[in-house]
Amino acid sequence: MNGYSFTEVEGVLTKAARGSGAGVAHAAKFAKAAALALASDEGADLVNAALADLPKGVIRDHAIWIQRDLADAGEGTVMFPNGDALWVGYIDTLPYKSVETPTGEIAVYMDVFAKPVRPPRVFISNENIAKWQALAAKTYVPETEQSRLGGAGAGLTDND
Amino acid sequence: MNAFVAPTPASLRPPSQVMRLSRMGSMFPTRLSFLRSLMRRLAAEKVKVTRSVWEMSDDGFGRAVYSLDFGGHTYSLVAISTDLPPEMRTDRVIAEAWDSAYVLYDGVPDAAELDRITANAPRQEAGRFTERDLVLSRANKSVRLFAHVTERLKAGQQPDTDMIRSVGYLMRTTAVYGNGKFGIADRRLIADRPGLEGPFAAEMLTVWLIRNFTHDLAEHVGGAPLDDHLKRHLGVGNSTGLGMAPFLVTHPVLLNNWMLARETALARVRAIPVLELDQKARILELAKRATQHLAQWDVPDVDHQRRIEKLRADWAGVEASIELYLNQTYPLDALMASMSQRSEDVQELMVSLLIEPFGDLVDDLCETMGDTIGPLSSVIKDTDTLRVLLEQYFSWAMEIDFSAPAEHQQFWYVSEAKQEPRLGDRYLEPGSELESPLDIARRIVSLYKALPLQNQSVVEFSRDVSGHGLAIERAQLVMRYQYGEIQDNLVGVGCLPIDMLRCKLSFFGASKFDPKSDRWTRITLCQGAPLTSELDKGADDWWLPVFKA
Repeated sequence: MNGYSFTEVEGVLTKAARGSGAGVAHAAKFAKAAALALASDEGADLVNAALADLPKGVIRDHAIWIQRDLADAGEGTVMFPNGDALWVGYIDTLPYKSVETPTGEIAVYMDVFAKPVRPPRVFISNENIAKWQALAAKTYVPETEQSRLGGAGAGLTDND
Repeated sequence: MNAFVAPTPASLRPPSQVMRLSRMGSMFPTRLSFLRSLMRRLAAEKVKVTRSVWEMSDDGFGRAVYSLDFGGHTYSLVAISTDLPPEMRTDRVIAEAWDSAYVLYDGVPDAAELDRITANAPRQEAGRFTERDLVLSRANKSVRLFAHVTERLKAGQQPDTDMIRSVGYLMRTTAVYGNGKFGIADRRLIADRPGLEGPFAAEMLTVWLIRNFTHDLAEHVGGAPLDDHLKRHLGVGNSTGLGMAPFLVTHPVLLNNWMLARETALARVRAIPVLELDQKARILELAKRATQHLAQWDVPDVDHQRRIEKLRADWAGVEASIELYLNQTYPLDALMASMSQRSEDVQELMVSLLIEPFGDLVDDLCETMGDTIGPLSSVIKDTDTLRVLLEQYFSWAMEIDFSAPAEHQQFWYVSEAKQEPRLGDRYLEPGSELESPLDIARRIVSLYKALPLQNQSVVEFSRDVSGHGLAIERAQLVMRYQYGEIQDNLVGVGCLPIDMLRCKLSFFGASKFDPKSDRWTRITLCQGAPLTSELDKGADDWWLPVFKA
């Protein structure tokens, strides 16, 4: 296992989800939630399963369900069921305070803003990071001479 | 000075005027720019910079460490200078070696940490870093000026002032990475630290320290000190390409907060009823300085030089007329209103000028320019409401005729070559199926057309019709962040990325924009800024620096 920054993991998982068929907005939400979920023992398995289910599955459904419940509530407190680490990750990336209730639900207080939670490091196995980087690479455009020379609008040496 | 005057919302210039590419591409740095606010903080704390390590060969290759205490924390710049063959000196992302590499370190590195950074920093994107590394950067020499300065110093002379003025830096950074890149610390981990709360504060601190290193390196190789007034005009160059442009699209909250702060500052000064004598004198002095600055701003690009020359001529007329307005009531409002028929270059220079003398009225706005929580979406329950909202806030997008091929001729993409951001022609180049999602206007129009005649919940619509998630998300943000959207077509043939670069760089505090194409530019940062030895001598009067030989 190697340590990565949250932003690195979020970045590679956003692209990995897009490379696996997720829409832009769903991929971004998933990546944030997943980077949090990876702190748990089950996190990597959940992330891999979610990516494998694309273009359907939880990467689409979790975001829609949460959006639906927030829209229904309008404002005030929203009660979400508890769930696996990825589901909780989705809730923890909302910009609102959330707490687990004595009955095991998660209460989200839409009138109390909260700064995002960011672990100092996210630990990932070499196998998983390689897998996600390969999926992310599906969003990159292959190199051509035309792209190399013209795509950035800049020359190749700067010795002035 | 005047007491706080709260502007009414109506007194802000509207997003429809401000958030256009051509105007964003005309912006100048202001006293709200990140380098300016950082320097004020450093000066307020009377920060002292110490050089604890200087292991450098006679020809200037080796490593150095500078440390400072700031906001209750100690930070160090680790600088590594290497011998770079000319054929490898490129400012592009695809470069694999540089003249120098840097890490802003959290604390003071011990010997093991210094060796770790020395091994990794020159490799940049290919290296690995830890959460103790806050910023990663690299810089290439201005070969011409660095050689000239060191040769002159070796000969017992100071460098030619014309060369100092025309180049303006000894090295130019080609990337200043923050926020978790390649394993360095996430921004969130330091975002609450005093002095580093503002956007890009750690990056700007790094740039200022790099500037100091470049002075030291030239003096070391030259074997003699540079005059302080020359050093003060030697900032840090920067080459910026397409990688900076997507940031403004993918960070609508930050873009909103930056632009809103600037517009609020302008509205506050326009609301001043009467000027004091010293304020009038200051405005006239700064207008004259702007004239001198423009006179010293020359670039090789023919089209941009022509634009600068037009601005010089226009500004000369403006400068002569400023005094006429200063004795009126609401003088700055009248002065700004008189600019309405002038070019956007003139208008934005005037905005920057008018804000400058009124620090006590506007500097608090710097504290509003960050994003501590993240996007706060508004709830849009049904598609009828969404339709009305799109018509109200995105009418600018609806006016674009996306049936015309030219309106989506360009596509943004990430190359597999070091993930360099690039821009292609959809009709001539492969890869458009992998384009980056910067086509906000096109997505908004597509969403609008896809909305059902029969009202339904937005959640149901999202579930039934895929591909509109990003557009819905932007609609959910626009009411709260009205300055968060660039109101132009970013995939149309008329989109010039250089406009986005200039906007963002002006917020950094950049001056002397030197476009090399419509996709990348060189700039100068920290020119005129206090040296490390000058923080206790007044650190805040370097708007549009002028070189006095």
